[in-house]
Amino acid sequence: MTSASCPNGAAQVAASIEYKTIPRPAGLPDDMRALPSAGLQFLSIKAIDGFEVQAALWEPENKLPAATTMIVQVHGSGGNLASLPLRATARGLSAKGYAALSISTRQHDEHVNTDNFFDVRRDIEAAIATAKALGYKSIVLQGHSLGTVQVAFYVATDWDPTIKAVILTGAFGKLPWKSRHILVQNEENYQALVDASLSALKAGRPDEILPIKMRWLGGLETPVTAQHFLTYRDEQTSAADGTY
Amino acid sequence: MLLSAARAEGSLVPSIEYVLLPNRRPPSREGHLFTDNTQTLIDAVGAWLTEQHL
Repeated sequence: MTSASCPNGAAQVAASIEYKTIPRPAGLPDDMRALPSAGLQFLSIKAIDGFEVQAALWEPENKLPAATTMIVQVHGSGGNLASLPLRATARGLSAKGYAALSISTRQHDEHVNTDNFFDVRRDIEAAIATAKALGYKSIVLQGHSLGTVQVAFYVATDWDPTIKAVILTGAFGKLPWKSRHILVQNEENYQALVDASLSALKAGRPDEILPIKMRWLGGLETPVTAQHFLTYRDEQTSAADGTY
Repeated sequence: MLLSAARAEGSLVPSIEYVLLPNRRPPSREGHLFTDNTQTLIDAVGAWLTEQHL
């Protein structure tokens, strides 16, 4: 028995990761330029759930991908592919024989504190798949700040032998603990955020901004979604634990 | 916390190295972004990759 949408014997594509080169995005820093012995181009990568990940691909000249280690870089809270720790490392090391693929995840720039931690895994997966499709056989994952828990979770849940090592810069231990005791520092507010997040989740609105703001870096009161709070900040439900 | 977890009995982490980069500025957002010690960061990452034979 077959259906019209699944012809007998014909393989169908259920989901895919795709990438293409794109023009240089506007507004990048002036020093986002390759040094003389390296090249820089930009990619758009479609993650398996359809999210478009923009990426900067830094490559040394005259060196084959198969003989080159690629650093896949993930920025911190509200950062992007041009965040300083990423671009500086990629620029400097691409002139010394390393490649780098710096991505803007789905919590880049104004999308900060809105994403679901588990979804960012798909952005990293898309970058790794692209690196491998480009011919790289040795990959190092680098995460900065919030990106450290994202890359740590990725390597803990995907034992891809192509990933040889992990670099964490500006790292912390347990983000839910840090969020509760260093960022929010207000038990009443923290519990209100928990309750509001659970209510939104039960109501089928995990991606909506909560009616309560979250105290964040520098004491800034910032908008946050239920899915972000529950998957990153809540001590009961978060998986954003660097010690995982 | 990360180091103790990585070195704890039963950990799957094969090895871990903690590198503290000098910075004359007190703890700050700029320090977190390596604004004043960018070249030190590049050198440290490059040296570690070489140590790892990568």
